[in-house]
Amino acid sequence: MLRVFAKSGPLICLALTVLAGNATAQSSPAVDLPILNRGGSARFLSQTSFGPDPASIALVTLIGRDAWLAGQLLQPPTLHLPRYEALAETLDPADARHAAWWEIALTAPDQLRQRVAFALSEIFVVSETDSALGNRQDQLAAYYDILVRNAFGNYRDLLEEVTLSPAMGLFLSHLGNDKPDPESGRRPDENYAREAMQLFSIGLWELNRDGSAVLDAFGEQIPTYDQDSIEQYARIYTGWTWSHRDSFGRGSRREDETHDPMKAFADHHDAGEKTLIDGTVVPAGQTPDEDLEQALDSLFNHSNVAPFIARQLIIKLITSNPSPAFINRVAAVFENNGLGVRGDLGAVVTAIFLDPEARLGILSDANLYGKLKEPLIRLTHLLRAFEATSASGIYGLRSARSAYGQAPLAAPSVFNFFSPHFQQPGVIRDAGYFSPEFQLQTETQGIRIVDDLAKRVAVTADDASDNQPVLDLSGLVAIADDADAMLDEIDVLLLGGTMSDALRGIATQMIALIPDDGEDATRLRRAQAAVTAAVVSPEFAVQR
Amino acid sequence: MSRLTRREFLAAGGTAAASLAMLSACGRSAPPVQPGDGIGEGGGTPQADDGYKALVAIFLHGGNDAFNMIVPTSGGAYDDYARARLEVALPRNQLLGLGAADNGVEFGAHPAMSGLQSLYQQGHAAVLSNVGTLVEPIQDGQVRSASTWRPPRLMSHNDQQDQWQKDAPTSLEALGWAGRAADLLAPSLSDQLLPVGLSYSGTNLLQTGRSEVGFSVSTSGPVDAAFLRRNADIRALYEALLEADHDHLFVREYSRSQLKGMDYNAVLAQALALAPDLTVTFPGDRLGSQLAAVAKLMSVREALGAKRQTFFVSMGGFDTHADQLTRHAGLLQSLSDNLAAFYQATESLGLAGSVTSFTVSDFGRSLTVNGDGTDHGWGTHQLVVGGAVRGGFHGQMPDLAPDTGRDYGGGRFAPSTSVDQYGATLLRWFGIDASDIPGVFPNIGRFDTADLGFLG
Repeated sequence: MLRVFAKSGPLICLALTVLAGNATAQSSPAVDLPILNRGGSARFLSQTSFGPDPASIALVTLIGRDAWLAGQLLQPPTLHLPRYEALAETLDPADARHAAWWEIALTAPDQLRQRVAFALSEIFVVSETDSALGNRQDQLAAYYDILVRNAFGNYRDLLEEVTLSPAMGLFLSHLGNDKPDPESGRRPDENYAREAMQLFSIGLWELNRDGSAVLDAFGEQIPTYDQDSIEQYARIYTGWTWSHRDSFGRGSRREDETHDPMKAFADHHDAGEKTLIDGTVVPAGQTPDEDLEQALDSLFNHSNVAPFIARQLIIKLITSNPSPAFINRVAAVFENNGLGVRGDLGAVVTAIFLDPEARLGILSDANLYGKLKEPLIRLTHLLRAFEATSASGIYGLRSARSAYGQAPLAAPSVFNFFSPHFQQPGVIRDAGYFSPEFQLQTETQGIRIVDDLAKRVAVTADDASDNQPVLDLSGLVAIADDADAMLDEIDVLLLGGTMSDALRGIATQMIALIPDDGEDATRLRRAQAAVTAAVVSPEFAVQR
Repeated sequence: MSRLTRREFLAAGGTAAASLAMLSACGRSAPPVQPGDGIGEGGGTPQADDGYKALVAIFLHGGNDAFNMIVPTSGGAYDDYARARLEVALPRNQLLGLGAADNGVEFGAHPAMSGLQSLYQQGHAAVLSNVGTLVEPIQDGQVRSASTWRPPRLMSHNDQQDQWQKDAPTSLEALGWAGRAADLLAPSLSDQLLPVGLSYSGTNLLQTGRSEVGFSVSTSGPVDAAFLRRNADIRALYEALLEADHDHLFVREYSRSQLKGMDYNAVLAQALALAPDLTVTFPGDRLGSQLAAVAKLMSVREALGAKRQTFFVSMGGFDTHADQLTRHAGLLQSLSDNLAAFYQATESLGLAGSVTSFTVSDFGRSLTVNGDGTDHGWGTHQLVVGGAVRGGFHGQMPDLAPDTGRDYGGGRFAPSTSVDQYGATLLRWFGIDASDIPGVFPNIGRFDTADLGFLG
C-alpha cells in the first residue's frame, strides 16, 4: 500500500485503510460507492466488459457494482464455435471466426467472461498467423471456447485443456512430438516445454508474491529453469497427437479432425525417469497421462504462478503499473480463494476488479493509473456505446485488423502483440514505467486507428455495406441542438464521466463548425462531430 | 501552431537530448585500443558529410536455421551435417555452391537461394559464420564450464532478440546499437527531416537510442486520417487537443506520439510525391513490400535531406520446430529473392555501394533435430549484402562433428564472433568513429577486433 499512500490525500488513505483488510469491503461514500452514478458505472464497465452500452450502464447504476459482478460470474458462457459454424455456412472461414468473435464481444450478455477470455487469449497465445491454424479456423474457435469456459474456472484445468488442445498442439508443435531416438540422436521437440514455462505459468525468474524478482547474494535475478529442465519437460510432452488418429504421427485429414483433446500413444511416449523443476522425480514407466498430470502440477504449484498470472491479468484489465501490494493481494487470492482452493480464476478476477487500487487508483494515482487501451478495445468500446448493428446482422470486422494492428487470435507469435514488459522509449521508459500496449501502437498505427474510428462514426445505414456495423446515434441526434447535452451523454458513454475541460472545449468548437439549422441531416452531422471529437481524443485512448 | 513550435513540442516530449559529451562519458573507462582502429585520427563527433549511407536490418523472427541455409558440401563435413540432421538434412546435390569457409570446407546455399548464390558469385554477399550473443569470448572446450560467462536467458526468443539488438546482453538500459549510432550522428544531420531510424516493422529495440528512437512507417506509404484531410479547421482543433496540457503520463505520451505521426507522415507524403516508379519488381510478399518501400524512400533521400538512415524490416515464421523442410524453403526463397531484388534496386538508384543490408535473428537452431524440426540454438550465420561488402566467408565456421569444443549441447554452438563485433563492423562503415565504438558496445574491448573486415 505504501506507494499508493505516498501519493494520496488523507481521504483516500482512510478509504484504503478500511479496504486493505477486505477487498470486497464497501469504500468510502465520497470516493467510489458500490452504487454508482452513470459515469462511474461506465468507467467500471470499461474495465469489466468490451465497453459500456446504455443498458449495462443502467443496470450497474441500478443494482450496483458488486451485484453486477456477482451476476456476471453466474452468466452461462456464450461459446464461439457454434456461432463460427453457423456463420461459416455463408462466410469464408476466417471471416466467420472473426465475425463470431465480434458479435459475441459486442452483444453477448456474459461480458465479464468474454473480456477475461480475451485477456487470457493474449497470455495463452495461439495464432492464425501460423499456417496450420490459419487453415483451421474451427480449431481456433474451439480453442477460444476453452478460454471462455475456464475464464472463471481453475487455472490448473485451463492449463491442462490448453496443453491438450489440438490448436496449441499445432501451434507449439507438441502434437506429434515423438520420444527420443538415442540411436539416431533425434531429440523431443522443446517448443511447448519452454513456452509453457516462460509464458503460460512461471516466467523466467523467481518472483516474490508481489511480483518483484527474488535476487541472489549478488543482486542477480534467479532463473526458474535452465535448458536441462526444458529437456526434461520436452520428454514429458511426447506421444500426444490428434484424438482421431489410429497410430502415432502428425498428419491428418481435415475431414477426420475433431476438437477433442489430444490423446497419447504410450509407445511413442518417453517413459524414462524425469526430474521436474521442483526437484520431484517422475518415475520411469508411468503412462503419458500420469507424466502430464505430474508435470502440470509442478508448474501449477510453483510459487511464481500466482504473481505471474496476477500481474498479467491486472495489466491487461486494469493498469500497466500495479503497485506490488496490488499484485500481492491478487496473488494471495490465487493461492487461496478463501476456501482453501488454489488457482480459482473467478476469485482472482473478482479480487482484481474490486481491489481498492482498481477502484481508487484514478484518484490516488491520477497521472499514472490505468493503461493504454488495446486498439481493438477502442473499437469495441465505440461500437458497444452506440449499439452498432449491420443490415445483415453479421459483424463484418475482420478487415479492421489492418487499421488496428490487432485481431483475436492473430498475434505475430506466441509472444502476443506486445510484451508485458515493454517500456515506451522516452519519458515512460526513463521513469521506469511499463506501457505494454504502446508497443503495438506505433506513431503511424496511431493515425490509422483514429482514421478508422472516425470513419466508423461517419458511416450511415445508407452508405454501409451489408455486413458493416453502423452506430445508432439517434439518442444524440434527438438532443443535437444542445452541444453540452450531447457532450454530457458522450462523456458517460465513452469517457466514464471523466471528460476533460480541454476536450469539452475543443469538441464544442468542432460541433460549432456545423451550425444547427433544425434539419435532421445537420443534426446527425453534429452528433457525428461530437462523437468523433471524443473517440479520437487522447483521453479516450487511455483506460483509467 | 507553427512547425517550429511543433518540433519543440516533439523534442520536449522525448528524452532529454543527450549531448555528445554525455555519451562519450559512458562506458569509456577502459577503451580498448586496437591497432589501426583509427583512434587519434580525429575521433569524436562523426561527420556525415561524405555522402549517403544506409544500413538495412532484416530481422528473421523466430530463429533462422542457418545450418540449413549455409551447408557444407565437402565430404566429411557434409556427412557430419547429414548425420546430425537426419530427416531435415538437405541433399548434397541440391546445394548451391558458394565457396570455401575459413576452415577450408566448401559450403553451399539452400537450394531455394539462387538469388543469394548469384550475389555471392558477384562478390556482393558475405557470410558471417557462427556469430551470436556473447558477453566475453568463449574458448573452445570452455562453453559449458562454470567459470565461463554466458549471456543470460539463452534460447529464449524475446530475450535473445533483445540481446541481438542491444548494446550488450547484460546491460540494464534498453538501448539498441543502431539507435546509439543515431544518437551519435544526429548532431551532424541537422538537415535531415526524418529520424535516422525508420522501421517498416514496428517498434524495435535496435533503433532505440537515448535521444533518437526512430520512427515507424507504413509499408503502404504515408498515412493521414480522412477526417483531418477533409477539413483544415478540424485538423487545427485536433492538433490543439493533442497539444493541450495533459496531466496523465500515458495521455501525454499518446498525444506526443500522434503529433509525431502526423508530422513525419506529412514530411513523407511531401517527399514521396516526387518519387519515381521503381524499376525493379520485388516479390509480392511481406518482406518484398517492406524492401520496396525502403527503396522508394531511398529514391527521395535528397528531398528528405537524408545522409544517414537505418531501416528495420522483418519476416516471421523462422521458429521451425516442425515441418521445417517445407516451411524453411519458402522463407529462404523469400529472403534470397528479396535480397537480390533489393540489391538490384540500390544499383538502379546508384546506391549499391552506399547501402548495406544485413540479417539478424533470435539465435541459430540446434544442429540435432526433433523429428521434422529443430530447436532453439545459439550461434548462427548471418548474411551481409551490398556493394561495399567484401564477399565471401568471414568469421570461424564451427565443426559440425558431434560433441566438439563449441557445442553447448545438442548442436547449439557457442558463437565464435559476437554481435558486438558484427554491429561494430557495420557501424564503422556507417561512419561511427572507432573511438566512439566502445560508447556503443561497452563490451567490445573484450573481443579481439572491432572490425571483422567484411566491409570495405
